[in-house]
Amino acid sequence: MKELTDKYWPIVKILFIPYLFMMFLLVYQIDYFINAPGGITEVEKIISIEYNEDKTEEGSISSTFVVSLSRPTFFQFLISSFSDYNYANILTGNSATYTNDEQNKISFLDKYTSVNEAIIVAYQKAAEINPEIVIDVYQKVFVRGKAPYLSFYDDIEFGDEFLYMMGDGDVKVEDFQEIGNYTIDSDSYDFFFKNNEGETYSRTLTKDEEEKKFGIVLYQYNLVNKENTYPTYHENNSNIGGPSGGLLQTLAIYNMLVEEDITKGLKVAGTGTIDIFGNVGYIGAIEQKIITAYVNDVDIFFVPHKSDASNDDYILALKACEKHGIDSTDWIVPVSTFQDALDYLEGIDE
Amino acid sequence: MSKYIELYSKIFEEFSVKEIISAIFGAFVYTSFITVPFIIIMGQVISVYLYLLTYWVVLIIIVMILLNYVFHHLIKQSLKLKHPEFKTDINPLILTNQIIIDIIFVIIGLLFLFVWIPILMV
Repeated sequence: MKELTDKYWPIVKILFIPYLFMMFLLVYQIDYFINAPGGITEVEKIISIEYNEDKTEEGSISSTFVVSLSRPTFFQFLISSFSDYNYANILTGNSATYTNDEQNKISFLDKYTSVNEAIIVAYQKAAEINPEIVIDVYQKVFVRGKAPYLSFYDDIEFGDEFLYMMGDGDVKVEDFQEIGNYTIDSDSYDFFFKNNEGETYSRTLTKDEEEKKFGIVLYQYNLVNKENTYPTYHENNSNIGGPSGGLLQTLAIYNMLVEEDITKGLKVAGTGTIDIFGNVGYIGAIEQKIITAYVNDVDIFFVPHKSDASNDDYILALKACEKHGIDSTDWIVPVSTFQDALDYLEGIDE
Repeated sequence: MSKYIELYSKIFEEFSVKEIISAIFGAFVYTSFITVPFIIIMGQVISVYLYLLTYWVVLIIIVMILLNYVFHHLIKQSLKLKHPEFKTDINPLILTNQIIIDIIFVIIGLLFLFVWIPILMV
């Protein structure tokens, strides 16, 4: 060690400052976000159903993911700017106030609930032609957002279930939409939650003096009651969060339930959230998703299309194709509902 | 194999265990100065250019082979600096070790490409 140090010490001395500078670039985070192309994931790797197991699928149905980096390091920001495919901008809104860990939790909550909605829509559609298929749905309310002024901010986690709160006149309020009507007389009320470990806890939440709000965002989600659902399904662990795979998950699950192969031997991908009524919703980073699909040679790519507004995902997708010199004909398909996607696939000649 | 063991025993005749450990440790520390930022850089490059992952894995394998060369070169140099007069030709020994480690790197890289990455990208 000593001999090497003696020999290389002059070089080490010269490189010391540039080395420290380089390490600074590699660890210093900035308040930006980067969206970059990611990859496609076959839905059957995430969800498997014990049904139609003899069926052979010639094609594939994949959801598309992009890389969303919040607070990248200076080096990541620098190298990202070398590619026209990437998009970087300053963090704003909730993304600016939430930590990366909190954004991950929200993202995986969205993924979990999105998969449930996809299962519900696919099973309900498949049940129309096969009465053997049964789905049972129930609702739960989860914590989906927290304002910085929320009391007990660190105790209440994203994804914790809201059970009830004790409103004015000691009324037990279970419907979260009624909270406003029962929190008029006082500023502080007891809220009851259930955490991921299944433990029930309560916290007294106080309204913010300026905002006159508790600072908690609650969403009601539709979930599958697995016990009363047939056929049974299994969800594998996933490293990719977010709700944007909803439409493709619905298509893939539906394909697992019906006898015919709706892929028709094609590599089907796409993006778009799904709600319980089968409506497709907008997603973010459409430009990066189009590029991801293009580099992965997909045959059909479904994109949400709800209006001709300039911020419509399909309009943005066409603009992205034009920007990057990608021919959008015959493979980018606008859809506004799950049925639209199904009709398009059914209309394809084998 | 017997030649390989013979070379090892010759080195142990010329150098004490402490000297050999010191040479390996020194080479490891100096190689780490390059390896640590390289690993961070590659991690960050992959995060931004994930769609080129296959190319990055191939590049990582190549750079790990080069770093392995640097590591062994530094061991050799350190031993030479300790005993400038030492006679044994350790090049075959260094080369053999290098090749074994390079093969391990290639295997790990291929496992990443074909097994772990498809599992992780779900």
